[in-house]
This record gives sequence, C-alpha cells and structure tokens, in this order.
Amino acid sequence: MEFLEFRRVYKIYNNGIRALTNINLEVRDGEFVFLLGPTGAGKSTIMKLLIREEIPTSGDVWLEGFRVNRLEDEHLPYLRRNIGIVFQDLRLLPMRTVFENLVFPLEVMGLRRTLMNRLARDVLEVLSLEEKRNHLVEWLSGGEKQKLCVGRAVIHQPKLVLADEPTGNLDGRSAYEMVSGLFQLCREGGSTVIMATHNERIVKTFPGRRVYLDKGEIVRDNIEE
Amino acid sequence: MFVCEAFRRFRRNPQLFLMGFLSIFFTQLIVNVFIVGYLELDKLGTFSGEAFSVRAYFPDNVNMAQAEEVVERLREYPEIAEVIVVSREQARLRFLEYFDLRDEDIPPEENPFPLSVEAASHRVEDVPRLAERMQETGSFDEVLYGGRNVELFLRFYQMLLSTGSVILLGVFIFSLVVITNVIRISMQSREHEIQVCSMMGATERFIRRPFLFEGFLQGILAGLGAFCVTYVIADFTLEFLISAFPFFPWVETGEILVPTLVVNTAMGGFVGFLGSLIASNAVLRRRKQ
Repeated sequence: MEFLEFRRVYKIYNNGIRALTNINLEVRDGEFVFLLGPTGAGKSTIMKLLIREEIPTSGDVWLEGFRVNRLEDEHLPYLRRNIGIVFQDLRLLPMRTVFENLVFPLEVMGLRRTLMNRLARDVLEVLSLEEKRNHLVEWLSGGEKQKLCVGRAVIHQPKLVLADEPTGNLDGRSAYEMVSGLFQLCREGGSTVIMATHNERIVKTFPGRRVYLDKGEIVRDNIEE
Repeated sequence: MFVCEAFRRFRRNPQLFLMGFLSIFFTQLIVNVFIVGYLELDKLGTFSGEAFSVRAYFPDNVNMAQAEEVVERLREYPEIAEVIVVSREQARLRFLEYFDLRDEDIPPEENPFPLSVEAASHRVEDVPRLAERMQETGSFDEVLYGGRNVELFLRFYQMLLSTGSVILLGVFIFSLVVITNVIRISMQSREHEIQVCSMMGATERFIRRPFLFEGFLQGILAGLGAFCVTYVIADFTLEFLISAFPFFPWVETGEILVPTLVVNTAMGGFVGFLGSLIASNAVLRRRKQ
C-alpha cells in the first residue's frame, strides 16, 4: 500500500454539488505533488478529505495504512498532528503572537517550552521573522503572514504537508522562495507535499508530479507520462 | 501561553468581558449581603442564646449539695454556656427586689421559692433542646424557657435562612446562565480559531482549556471585585451602625473579611469555570454534528 491513496472516491456536497468523481490517486512517501486545475475542480476537496474536514460520499481515503474516512473521532487529532497544513485563507490565530502561532502545532503535541523555543528559533530565522517574534499576527504584512503559515505547517516536521494555494498573497520572488522551501523540506526531511496551486510559473519552475483536475475528475497525471 | 491570550482577549473585547464580569460581580454582591446577614444573625443568635435562659425548679426535698451535683452533670452538656444554682434565699431576695417589696412581706421562714438552676445556651436555637434534655434528667419538677419568644426568633431565623438559600440559588443560576452565554458568544465569535485548533490536531480538551481558564479568571476577578466593594461598604455602614446603636451585637468588619473573600473567590471561580465548561461542551457538541 502506498503512503496515500484515494480509492474510487466520490464527493457530493449536501447542496448537490458534485465535487469529486471516481478519484483514484496513489502518492508515494516523500513525493512532491502539484494539484492543478481551475477553481471548482476539486483541489480543496481533496485536501479536506485528507484531513477529514469532509468525508467522502463513497470510496476510501487511506493515509499510512489508516482509512481516514473511518477513523474514530478520538483518533482524529493524532492523525492531524502528522499533517502540516497551509490554508488558502491562512487561518492564523489573531490573538497570538508570531511565536505563539508558529509553535502552536508543537503546543498541541505537548512539547516542552525549551524544545519549542529551539525549533521556533530555527524556523523564524529561515522565514526572516526573528525580529517580529513577539508581534501579533495582525501587524504582519500579507506576505509575512503567508510565510508564517508555511512555517507553522512545517515546524513539527510532519509526514504530509498540504498547501492550498500557498503563493496566493506572495509576489513572484517570495512565491518562489516559499515553494523552494517546501521542496527542500520534501527532499531533505522526507515529507510528502501536496500543493494545490494556480501559479503556472511555479509549476513550471519546479519538478514534481502534476495531477490535473477538472470538474472533480483527474484529467491528467504526469506520473503516467 | 493561553494566560497571555486570555488577557489580550479581555483587552480586545471589553464588552464581552464586562458582561461576564458584571454578572458574576453582582451575584457575588448579593451573596455577600447574605453572608453579612448570616454572620449578623449568627452573632444575634449567640447573643440571644445567652439572653434566653432556661430555668429549672427542683422538688422541695432537694438540698443544696444535691443541686450542685446535678449542675456539675449539666455542665458536661455541649449546648450549655453557663449554669448556676439559684438558692431559695437568692430567689426570695430577687422577688422582693423585682416587686420592690420589704423583707417582712415574705419572711425567710415562709419562703415559697424552690431551689432552681439557670442555664444559658451557646446559641438561641439550642434553648428548646437544652430545656428538653434538662427535663429528661428527672431531677426537676418544672423546666421553663422563653417559649414563644424563642420560637418566634427561631422561626424568623429559619425563614431568613430558607429564603436566603432560595434567593442564593436563584442568583447562582442566573449568573451561571449569563456566564455560559457570554462564553458561548465568545466561542462562536472564535469559531474559525477552534476550527484551526482542530485542524492542527488539538484534542477537545486542549481546545476547551483556554475558554475554561478565561471563565475561571473572569469569575475570580469578579469575586475579588465584589469582595473589595463589600468590604468598603460594610466598613462604612457598620461603623455608622455601631456608633448609632452601640448596644446591639453588630458583626465587626474583621469578622466578615475571611468568609467573604473565600466565598467570593471560590464561588466566582467555580461559576466562571462551570459556565465555560457548559458553553464549551455545547459548542463542541454542535461542531461535531
């Protein structure tokens, strides 16, 4: 069994919208996958199924041998701790500082403060946010917030990183640096990265598997090419 | 970290904080009125317990030595604050003094008064029980106490206690409902944060923690606020009352200090915590559905 698998997955929302149709997808451990397609193609739904924010109407989603859609509620937090997420709308915690947002996944895991400090110092340095460590996130620019969101997704070295349009608020250079960082994480840390994006330039710049979706179906997957 | 976060949230959303704070604050003020009232009644009960004494009359054949023996036994009763033997001669003299009579009006050889004891209890509600126990000894012909006056006092005392308990329960539920709704509003306004926490792998316990702390903190602060206000008002009022009615057994400010502080902080914190627990459970249950 592969690291991640979608087996005959269908998703129809309560309002009748058919988001995914017969999705069959296998992703190997450590793979870097771009999910491409127009708005409404089903990219975000795939992400939501992986973190079980949504449940498939039929079919199964497997992650590391666990059937995500059948997982007991009490086991769900432990599954999610192995996933780093870069949300499309960032979803930073506004009442927390940069540092507190960054170490939030570590806090959830119950890590000690000294270890949190050490890991945060390294990530803040990479993100060039050391000086803004104690700033509330609302004082950050859009690009800084995006970087922080990426930092938060990777600080706990998750096995799977999901990035939903992570370059949305970034200029060309910052977008490149950000994806480059994710790519490096995938190569060096062995994390599997699934990134949904519209950014054609980024997709062309980086190697990796490209899965094209349209109207909820996989229309092209370059692993087969 | 959630400690700083709670203070930041209070600063950011003072209206919501104030709503929760004030509901607990006013509840605690009402509670304090009852605490002071109870302490005052308690003091009055002690004072009156000594005032409402029990008189018990020995049969004519009992002598002084036998009476002293009975009194020694009575002293072992926990209800008794003080007990004395009143000799026949003391009773005669008291009677003459009370009715302003001359010695020859009741000569000692015609003294009709029996040997008796006068017992005072620690608390007024103990008086009927003490009289009953003294009667049960079989040493006395007749045992008398303030009767109707004591019963009236006790009825008033019980009525105040039961009314107070009902009102207290009412205000407790009221403040619990308010704080529950305040925390629920607070949680609903932070729905997306809860969602983020959940997506990051936070357990329900972890998500609930800052809200519980927030409610608890609000409760403690409101309790301390109520304590300070009560202290200032009680100090001023009691000083006035003591100088205006010095013979009444007023409770002193020092006596209300510890009970109000303990009750206010403990009850405030408890109400805040419980309200937050109810609200967070409701919101998290709704999220699951």
